[in-house]
Amino acid sequence: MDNIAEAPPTQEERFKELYERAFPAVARFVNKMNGSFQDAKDIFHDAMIVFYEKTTHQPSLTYRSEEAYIVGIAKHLWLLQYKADRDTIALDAFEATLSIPADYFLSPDQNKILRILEHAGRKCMSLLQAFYYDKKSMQSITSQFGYTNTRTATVQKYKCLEKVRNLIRERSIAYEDLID
Amino acid sequence: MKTSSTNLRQVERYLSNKLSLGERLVFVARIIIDHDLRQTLALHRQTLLLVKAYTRKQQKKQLNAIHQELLNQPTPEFQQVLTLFSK
Repeated sequence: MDNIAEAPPTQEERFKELYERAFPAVARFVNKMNGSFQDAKDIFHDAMIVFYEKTTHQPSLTYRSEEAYIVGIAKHLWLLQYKADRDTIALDAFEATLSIPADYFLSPDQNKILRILEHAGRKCMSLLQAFYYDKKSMQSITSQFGYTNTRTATVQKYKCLEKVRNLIRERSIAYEDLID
Repeated sequence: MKTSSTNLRQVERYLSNKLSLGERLVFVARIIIDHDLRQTLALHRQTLLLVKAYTRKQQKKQLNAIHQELLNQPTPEFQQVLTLFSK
């Protein structure tokens, strides 16, 4: 029973709690920039995702408050997406240090592949997400996805990678250009 | 064309910084001369990017659901935001 009481909040619980706390601040900023309620929602969702990634991958990160961090990212997103004039948005010293990941916005080719995978490869993408993004072990993936053993899960992961790679090849993304 | 599993394993270890310094130097040199390895690396980078983008889209779905919930049962702060935009 103690386990339940002490369990850390799930990602969904964190999202919910942060949503209630940080959305009003982002919405006030977007309103000040003459954006719509829909703009506020879109910018806020992107800002939450960037915030979640940064703080999950760099737990040692320090910042004033979660709200301040999310508002800072929202300002950068606004500058990027609406090509707003940098002079119209005041960034304080902390906000100026923030940035949006370079891979956050996809190319049209990448978007096309992603849409295909969302329709015809959900199970594969969930498996690859569990392994590469959530960094789960093959053992926990085996039980989560109901495979007989880790060997089967590993083979499946390999097949899924092949599926994605084939799609990239077919859609001929200029992947040679991406080499360092 | 199938990707060799040895190359793939090396690429995975390279991208997650698990190669020793020596292995890393050999790997970087091989990229220059080995076309297949170069292609495997580029494809794997693209694949990881798509996995990340897929994950972000799933997270957006969760956020949309929370937004909808708040629209249906607004907290006082959320109600204030709604009023702000209705002016």
